[in-house]
Amino acid sequence: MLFNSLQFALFFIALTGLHFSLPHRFRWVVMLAASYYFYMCWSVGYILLLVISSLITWYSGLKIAQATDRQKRKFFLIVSLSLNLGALLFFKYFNFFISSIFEISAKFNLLAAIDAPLIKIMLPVGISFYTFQTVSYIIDVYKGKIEPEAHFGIFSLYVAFWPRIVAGPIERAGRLIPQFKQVVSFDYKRATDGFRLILWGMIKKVVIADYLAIYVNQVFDNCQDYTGVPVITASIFFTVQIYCDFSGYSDMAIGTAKVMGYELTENFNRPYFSSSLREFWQRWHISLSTWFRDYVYIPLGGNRVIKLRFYYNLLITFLVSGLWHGANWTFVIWGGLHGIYLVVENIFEEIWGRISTNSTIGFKNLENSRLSTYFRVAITLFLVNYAWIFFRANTVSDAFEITKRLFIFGGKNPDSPVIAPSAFVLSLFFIVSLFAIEFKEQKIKIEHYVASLPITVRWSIYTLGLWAVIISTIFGVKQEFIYFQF
Amino acid sequence: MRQSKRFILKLAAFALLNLAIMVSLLLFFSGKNRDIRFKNWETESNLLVIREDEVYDVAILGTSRGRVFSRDSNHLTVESILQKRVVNLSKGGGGGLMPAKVHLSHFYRRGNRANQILYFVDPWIFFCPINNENNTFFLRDEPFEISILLDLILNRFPSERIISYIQMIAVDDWKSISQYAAPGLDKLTLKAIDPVKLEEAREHYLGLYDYSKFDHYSSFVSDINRLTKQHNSKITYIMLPILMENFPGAKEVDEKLKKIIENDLTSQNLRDKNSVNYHNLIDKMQDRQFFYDHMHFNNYGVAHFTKTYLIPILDNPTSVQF
Repeated sequence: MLFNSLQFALFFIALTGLHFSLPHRFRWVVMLAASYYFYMCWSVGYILLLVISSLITWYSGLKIAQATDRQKRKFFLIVSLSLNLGALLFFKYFNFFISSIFEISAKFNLLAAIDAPLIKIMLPVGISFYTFQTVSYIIDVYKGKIEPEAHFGIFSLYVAFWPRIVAGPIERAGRLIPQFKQVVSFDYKRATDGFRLILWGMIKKVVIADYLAIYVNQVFDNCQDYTGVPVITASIFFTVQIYCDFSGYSDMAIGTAKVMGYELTENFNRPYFSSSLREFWQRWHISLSTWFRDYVYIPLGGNRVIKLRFYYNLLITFLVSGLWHGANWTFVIWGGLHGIYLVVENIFEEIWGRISTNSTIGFKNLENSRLSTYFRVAITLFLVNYAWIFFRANTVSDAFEITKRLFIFGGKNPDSPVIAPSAFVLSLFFIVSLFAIEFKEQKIKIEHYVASLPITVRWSIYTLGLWAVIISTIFGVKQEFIYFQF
Repeated sequence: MRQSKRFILKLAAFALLNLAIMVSLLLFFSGKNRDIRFKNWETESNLLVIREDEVYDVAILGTSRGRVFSRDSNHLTVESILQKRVVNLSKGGGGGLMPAKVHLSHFYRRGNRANQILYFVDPWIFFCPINNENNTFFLRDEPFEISILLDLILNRFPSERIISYIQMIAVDDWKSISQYAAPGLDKLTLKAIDPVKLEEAREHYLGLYDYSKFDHYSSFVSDINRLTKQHNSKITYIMLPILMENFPGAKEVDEKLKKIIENDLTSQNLRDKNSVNYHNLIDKMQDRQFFYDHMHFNNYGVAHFTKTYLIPILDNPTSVQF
């Protein structure tokens, strides 16, 4: 059930009505049933996996809190982590690891005659997202940061909460569970804010991302046919596409939860206006980057270690983050590239810091100038854009081929353009509009700005937005949400 | 409570506003291409053929096996043999009971009349979603009409079909889309029947069959009977010859059709008019020279079938025996 479908609209309206008409004590039941129904619309069989994962984590959490000796606490922590992460590893990475081992072995003439024993299995929807929630919960309970949840129903709702089950945001128990217990009544402002966010998310996904995807797919899926400008254009379009696709989904998830009185974590904060890679990762997929910070990077030692170890920690964190995105070497390289970027950025900042401190020619002023900020934003965007090529390419060799072809000008591209000139102009219009809106969001969020306008203007904007979505849905090419595959 | 009331009121007003915009837009685009006219043998589209307030002697419904009665100018041959005015509403690649009902409804809604309806029913249209609600062909080359859209909604076609039909608003090149009318059927004669290919075809159909849908699709027979009764047409269901023994589902369809017709004659008070008839001709004309593959007539087969079977059926649908 996609957020941009009629089926979802009916589901959401009915659920919201039921949610607010029921006494608070029954709401969790309805929300849990709705969450399981929503999940089963994607995959019926794997609901059992979701329930088992919830049960194991909930039981382990209680046992950890009850246990007095350290060994017992550790035992339940390990049980929960290994079962949850084991399921994730099995479903998501088994084939990847096996085929990688066989490919490497074949290069050394080992196992050449044997076919890799791959399993035909579908990846359970949202497994990467809900597993990270169960992992963060059990670690937080183990560390004593939160109390374990005694109510199995409420805990199951935390794991399966429908607006975020498929593609996040990855919520922390300490933030979400108390909201399920809080009595909320219908709030007009919150509901309209939520609907505005849903509409904005839909525009980003259905109107912009799906439209750009036509060009992107054509070039990336036939990269051997294109050189120079079409390849550069496709890489820029993908940079915008993935942002609109994923942040659009997040906005819809946050918006739907908001209408019903729940606040989810903001997942994106104008990431392409970041002036450094570090800042980019504080603004992109925030719920995932903070998860990796808290449960991988800091346990590894973070930056409170010797320099080399710090760089190693950065690299490891980003390699794992890359692998989390998908069982493909393209994602690992994408993660690795970001790790390298951050290491280089840190080294550069250190050198620059020394130079500017010792200089007498006003490096500090230059650093703080607007021009310098624009330059850093452009460099960051360029590096992020390049890394996305690995994320989008179908194979590692395709990614390197595309890299090579970025610099081949005057090569022979197919006679017919990738898309019609008018469609190309429309794509550019979408991109410029998006950046203009996000630029304005420096001062005020788009939904708050629209809310401040007179009703006639406001309703005209809503109507235009809604029709842009309807027309794109009917006449456009429907694309899956990119992050659903993870 | 006051807040939620205010919200619901505003949401309802916004929904109404957009509903009004939607209906206005659909009405604006509906029937834009009614002036474009084609003949049955020039196009596979039905809506570009259906005119207004016309009277026909015969209207044909069916799949591609019915469509061959118009392709390659066969239409003119059939009209000449029958000495009757014919309109063909069959749909190649589709033509299941659900699409047939939509096309026939539209035909009547435009004020047209047909004295006799010939529905060339194939066994698979009683079992295959791909010939019914999942059929991507039957509206692919048809211009947008709001009444058809309503038919799709009322007959519970899936949203993908509804959306794909609305997409036809953006199509205006009917000339190129309507070119296909399968010329050259006169040169095609089935040389031999490859038993392996025949078995593959059987497996193919069985793979598409959804037996749980049999009763649902069969219910459209009664709907079509009701529709023809309302418009004073007689309808005759004919299972056309096929060069395959024991075709999957043929026996079940034969029994079901007899039962439905018997029941409808009583319940819909149709008996006096002899308005619903059925002929199972699946095992007739088992000569390869009439076919270009195991189920489609070539020009020679169309002419022969029209002469041998359609003339007597149209003359005396109730008591004719073969």
